[in-house]
Amino acid sequence: MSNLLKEPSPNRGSLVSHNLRAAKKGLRDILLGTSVATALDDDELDTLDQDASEVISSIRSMRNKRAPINRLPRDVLALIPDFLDDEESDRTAITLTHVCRAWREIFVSLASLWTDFYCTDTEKTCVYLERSKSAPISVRLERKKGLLPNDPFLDIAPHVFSRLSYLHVTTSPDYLEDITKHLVHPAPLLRSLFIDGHASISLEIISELTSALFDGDLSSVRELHLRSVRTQLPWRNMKNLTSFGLTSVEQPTLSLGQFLDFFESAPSLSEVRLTSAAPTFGTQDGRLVSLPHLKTLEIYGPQPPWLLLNHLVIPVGAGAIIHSYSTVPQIDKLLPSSLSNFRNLSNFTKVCLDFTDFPPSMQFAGPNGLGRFVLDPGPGPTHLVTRHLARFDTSNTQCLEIRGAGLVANELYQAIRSMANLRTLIISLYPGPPVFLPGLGFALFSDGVVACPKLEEFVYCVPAFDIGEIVTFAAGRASRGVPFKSVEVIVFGEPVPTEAIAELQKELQKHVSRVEITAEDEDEYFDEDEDEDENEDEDSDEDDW
Amino acid sequence: MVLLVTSDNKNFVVDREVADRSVFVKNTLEARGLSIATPPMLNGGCFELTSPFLQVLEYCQHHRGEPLPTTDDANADENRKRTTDIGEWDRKFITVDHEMLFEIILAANYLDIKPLLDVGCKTIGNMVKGKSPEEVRKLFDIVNDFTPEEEAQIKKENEWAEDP
Repeated sequence: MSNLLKEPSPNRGSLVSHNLRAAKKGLRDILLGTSVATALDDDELDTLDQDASEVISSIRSMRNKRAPINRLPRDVLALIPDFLDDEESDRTAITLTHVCRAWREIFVSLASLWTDFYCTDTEKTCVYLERSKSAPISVRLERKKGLLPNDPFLDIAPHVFSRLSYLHVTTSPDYLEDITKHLVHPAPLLRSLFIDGHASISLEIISELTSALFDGDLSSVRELHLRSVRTQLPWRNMKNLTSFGLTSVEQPTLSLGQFLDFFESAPSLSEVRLTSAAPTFGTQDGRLVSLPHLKTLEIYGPQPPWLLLNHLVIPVGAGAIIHSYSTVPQIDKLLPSSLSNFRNLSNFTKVCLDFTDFPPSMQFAGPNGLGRFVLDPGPGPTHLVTRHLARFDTSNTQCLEIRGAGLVANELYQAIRSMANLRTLIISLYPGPPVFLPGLGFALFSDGVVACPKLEEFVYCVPAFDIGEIVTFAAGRASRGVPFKSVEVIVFGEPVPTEAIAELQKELQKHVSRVEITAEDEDEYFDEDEDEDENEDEDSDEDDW
Repeated sequence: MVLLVTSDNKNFVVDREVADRSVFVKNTLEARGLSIATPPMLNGGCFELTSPFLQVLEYCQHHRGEPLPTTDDANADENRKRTTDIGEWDRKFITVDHEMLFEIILAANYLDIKPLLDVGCKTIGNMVKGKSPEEVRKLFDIVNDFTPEEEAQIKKENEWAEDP
């Protein structure tokens, strides 16, 4: 490392200084001579000017070499762009090339810095293509009004297909075909294709994505997301596809058979997200299609998802988010007629019932990731959601969270009783039905059987007036030889006297080895809850309960 | 235990687990068959290091026992690079003057301690982001050494750089 920090040797430095001083003196003598101004013509003066600029730049470059940051080797400086936020990396990359000559040379020659660009300007696009050398490129094309005759994309299109790794097209329905008709050449390196028709109106003029796209070969594609486009999913060699998304803006036109054909050709799929696109016809198809690598399945929309689900074999541990907002008032009509091939969805380790929101929801998480099961029954009793829980095998459920007031406690009690491996129970009831916990305690010990014998952790968010229940519940477990190891109580609502908290702590410690009690201000409780809701609205994908 | 000797002849005896945070030290010791270096063999590992070694040592001691990044996992490497967050301890650790920051980065690079090199580069990345070239120059004591012709090219680039 010390070699890296070495300055030029004193002798060499002296020689350079000596030469520079001599040159400077000679230059001054010439320039300050009275005959120079008349002896040189404009061109010669320009050349001299240019030479002087070069010399000044070189001197400044020498100064820059002594800047502490430039002691870092160029391969270390070249790492810096790897750690820039994606949002700013484009602008910062250009900034880095504008700092000094040395940095410009380093960062211009760093091909990876120039592989991802919006195709907005011909000159810019050419610069990026040149600087990215032969590396695979990511192109973002945003054309709400189609391609102009001199559009930069038309200039570069013939040159980019062989290097195209990622393409994101955003356009309007009127111009989709205008763009896709240029996407006909093979793109053997294409990994990600996003096409957003961005349609909200004029549905009848959406053109269809056909097998002509990239010469019909999407076999290299790993991510395919189509939004507001019309397609028959004609591609039959999707062996590398791992992520597929389809958002429709009209009545689904794809039949069950077309989906199954597509899924059969994509055995590596691990994420599927369908929005308003689930098939509603084609019931004669008797196939069962296995998606052995599936981790997340998301289906949203008014179309009941069961037609498709009944033909998919979902692997153990997959997560599911199913949000069916049918207007059918009775939830039973939304339930699948058969759960035989759907049963693996029950192999979840965590279940949450949330009655705080409308619609009430069910969320399931498996070992491979988080899933959520949401049923929107329209106006209807929440107990039907609970009843639906009973249709799943929850014997592997280790954590149950109940939010809000599940009013039909008996069915809920029975569902909890069947969770033989339950270890953690989280109840955040608001407003709390005062009889809920005693009822649960009773249900867990009915018929002479101690249900949920592995239950060891209990988190109870309780209104202040109900804090007494918890002691009875914990004492009941302890007296039957299945004490809690940990109890956490969060009291909200009216202020609770410190003495009461201390008394509760003391009573609980008689039955539980670890007790934690916190009193939460009611306003804070609501604020926090609202914040969470807002966050969920903003990005439901990152729901982290 | 391993003895590490800095270029200014200071000796540091450290646990093997701490020394192994440096891939360079680890590989050197293994190549010399000193996988179990005991005190009598202390002079087995001798490396030229400068004063930031104390800082680097503190980092290695804090992160001892943590899994080392694998070199054969391309995805892990990509994820490592793309995370701009710096842990709280690392952030405090790397809050030093520029001179020391660059020395630590140099040391991390020389000793092949990737996580520390990442922390250093992330810190510089965070310092640079959102700044204009002039602000970056001022920050790092750099002068504008472009010729007028190069400046003209830069000006043109700035015109399309404002596009999304």
